[in-house]
Amino acid sequence: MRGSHVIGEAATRAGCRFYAGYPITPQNELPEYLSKRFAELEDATFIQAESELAAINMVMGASMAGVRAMTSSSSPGISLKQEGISYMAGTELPAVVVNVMRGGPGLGNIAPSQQDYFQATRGGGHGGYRTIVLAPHSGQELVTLTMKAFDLADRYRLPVVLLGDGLMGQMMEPVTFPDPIDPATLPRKDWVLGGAKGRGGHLLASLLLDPSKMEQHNWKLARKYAAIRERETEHESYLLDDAVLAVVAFGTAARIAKGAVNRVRKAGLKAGLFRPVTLWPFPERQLRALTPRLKHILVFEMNLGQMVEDVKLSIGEQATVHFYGRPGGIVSTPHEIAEAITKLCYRYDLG
Amino acid sequence: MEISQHPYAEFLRTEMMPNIWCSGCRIGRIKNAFIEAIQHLGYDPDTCAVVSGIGCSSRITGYLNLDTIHATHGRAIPTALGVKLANPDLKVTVMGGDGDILGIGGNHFLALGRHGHDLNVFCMNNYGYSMTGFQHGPTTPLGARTITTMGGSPYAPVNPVAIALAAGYTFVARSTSSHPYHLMDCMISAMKNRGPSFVEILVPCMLFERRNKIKSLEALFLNKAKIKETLSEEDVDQNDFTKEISLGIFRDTPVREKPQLSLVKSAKKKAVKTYRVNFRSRASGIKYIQIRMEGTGGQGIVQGGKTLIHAAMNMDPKLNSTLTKRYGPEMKGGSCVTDVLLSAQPIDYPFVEVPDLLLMMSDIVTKERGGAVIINDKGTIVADESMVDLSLLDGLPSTVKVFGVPATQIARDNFRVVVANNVMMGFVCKTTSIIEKNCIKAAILKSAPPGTEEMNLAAFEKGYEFGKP
Ligand code: SF4
Repeated sequence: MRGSHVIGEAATRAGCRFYAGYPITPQNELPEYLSKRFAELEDATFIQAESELAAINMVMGASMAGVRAMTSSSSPGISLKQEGISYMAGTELPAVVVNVMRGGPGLGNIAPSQQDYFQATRGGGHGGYRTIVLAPHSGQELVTLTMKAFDLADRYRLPVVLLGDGLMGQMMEPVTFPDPIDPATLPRKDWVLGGAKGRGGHLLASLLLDPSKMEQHNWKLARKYAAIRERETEHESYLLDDAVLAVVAFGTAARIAKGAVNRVRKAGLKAGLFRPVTLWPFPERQLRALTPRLKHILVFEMNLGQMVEDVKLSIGEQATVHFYGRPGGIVSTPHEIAEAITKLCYRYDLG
Repeated sequence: MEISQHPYAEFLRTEMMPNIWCSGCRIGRIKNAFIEAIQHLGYDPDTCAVVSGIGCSSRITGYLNLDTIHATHGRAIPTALGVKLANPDLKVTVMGGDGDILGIGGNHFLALGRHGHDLNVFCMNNYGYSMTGFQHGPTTPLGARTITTMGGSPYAPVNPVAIALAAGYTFVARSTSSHPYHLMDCMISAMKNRGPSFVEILVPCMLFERRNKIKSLEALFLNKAKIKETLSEEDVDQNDFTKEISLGIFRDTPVREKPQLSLVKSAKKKAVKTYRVNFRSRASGIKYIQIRMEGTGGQGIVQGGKTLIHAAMNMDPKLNSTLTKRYGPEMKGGSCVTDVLLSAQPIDYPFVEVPDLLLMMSDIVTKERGGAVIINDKGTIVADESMVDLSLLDGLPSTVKVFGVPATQIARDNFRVVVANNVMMGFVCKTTSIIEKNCIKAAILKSAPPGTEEMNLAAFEKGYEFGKP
């Protein structure tokens, strides 16, 4: 099944019953799939909005009404959605936002890229908030992480970003799906708009004119973010036990890096891969734990170096961080990365 | 009087009082008319939600003790639509100002008319952006002074009623905050209408009055406005308080018959003959194969790749596979490449580096590459003789197997050109025996549009006949 369809099916099975989107390449296959899939369901709504802004705000409305809701877009469209994402973060509303990244800046191109790492992991919009960011690297992980995104969004009441790229979206891989979740069985949300009888009305707003109230609210958000940092980091370690050099990469890049690691291992070089699955929260502690045993870390990204900053923050002076990356939608081959690893191993005499 | 004794106390968040409106602002009256309308209709507050954007008028949601949303500037309509679609039992009303609804949110205002959903949009027109000190907005009258048009606005104002009528709202009315009973009636009728309803509510803003040395807009409204039972086209234009204002209901039509929301059920396809091909799955023993199909956009290059990958999955569901495609800048007529990888191990890099099997439907890609043919030394090339200049394939190592099949010619002579890719599949199937015949046929059936199954399968068989085992 094609990656973008996998996301659609996984979302449906996670109990998502509302999707609003706007056409942009390379993610059109996802709304295309959902428009068909949701038509089979009595309780689901698919709507093509009049703009990206409309789409994210429709998702906001649906989320306020208590439904599991999703939107998707690609880089320029995600920029347009940032205002709505900030409002949702401020109002503490769950939603899943899929970003099928393409080359940038500006309109860029439609080739696979990882140039939105900063935007995704730093909140993206105004107001100093965070969103959980999940980076799948395989078809099967598109299933698990899409479903997990809905759970996390509901649990912590915040937008969760699923960060993929065009390659992820169009790759066809065999996957297995878990049984669908019946939305009726999901825990009730006690804050939604469902009628004000017998209680005060709910006012869902992110406007807090009184600075002290705004401060309180921000502290509350900060505590929530701290709890997420504490509990929700996820990563994969691949052949790291005996490694002398670790490659750090996420998403499609991690997949390519895995191939490179396999290649250099055949040639006798002990490299391994550390793959962050959650980009925010970043698995800092887990990465730091590799050092100081590992003296050298090679970060590989499909951009000119964004996650590398988080890697450096995580490990401080404990190891030397190297970087290899290509921007603009060129997809490096495993061979290229293997070469980069090999060069480092020879230069620093890593056995 | 204690605020708790307010006649509408039940509907108000009294803890939010006093409100932030200027004393003398008339927006509060509109809020009251809304409460009266709900009471009159006997609506259970439990079923009412109000959504607003940002601005003086949008503050209404802060004071109404219903479920309310204070949404993003300009986006009240899509947010409300999200609520409505997710919970159709709610009666959802959008309240906002002219800047919010017609300015920054204008696109959504238009789209709602077209979408046709049951939402009420009550737009308070106070002729500018009041909350921020009164800048000019979409409805600011020509020549009016605002803090961004101190010499008088040079812009022609829009007519909200005319736009709503053109956009397809099923209920359109105009009233003012100075005619509370008329306003309430309009709101009641609007809420009864089951389509998108729009009420323009003229409301005096004191900042506007001050800037333009108008003593009392309210007096002007009361003086110039006429409530009319029946309205003509001319009345649409009469919205200028210096001349004449026509108030009343411009349109109240039943919502047009149309499929509900997104729940459009796809029309039942005519019962056509159903085709079936049985195949058996087994362990294929494939370790790693790189297949590239290339040609010209429109030749079914991507479809061919899909057929291959589905066929491989039919044969051995345990295989890992990826399909990626690349187009030249133009979709039709430009170069097109589809890469298919089949592997026993998870695939790390989804593009073909050196193909083991290269299917050339035309030579456009190779020519773009300057004539270089990339192929594994022990690989196989199958070229469509009718489309590929075979001299390009001279000079390849003798270990490379090269086959030609006039796929396009065969398709043109016997069927239609579009099935040339399946002629190719048939030929490849017999010649390479990578994938079993029935697995490919089942894959072809899976993607063949209804009614073309027979032709596609026949094309495959024709190619198979030509194949060299
Ligand atoms: S600025 Fe104008 S619209 Fe706003 S509260 Fe004052 S009078 Fe009312």
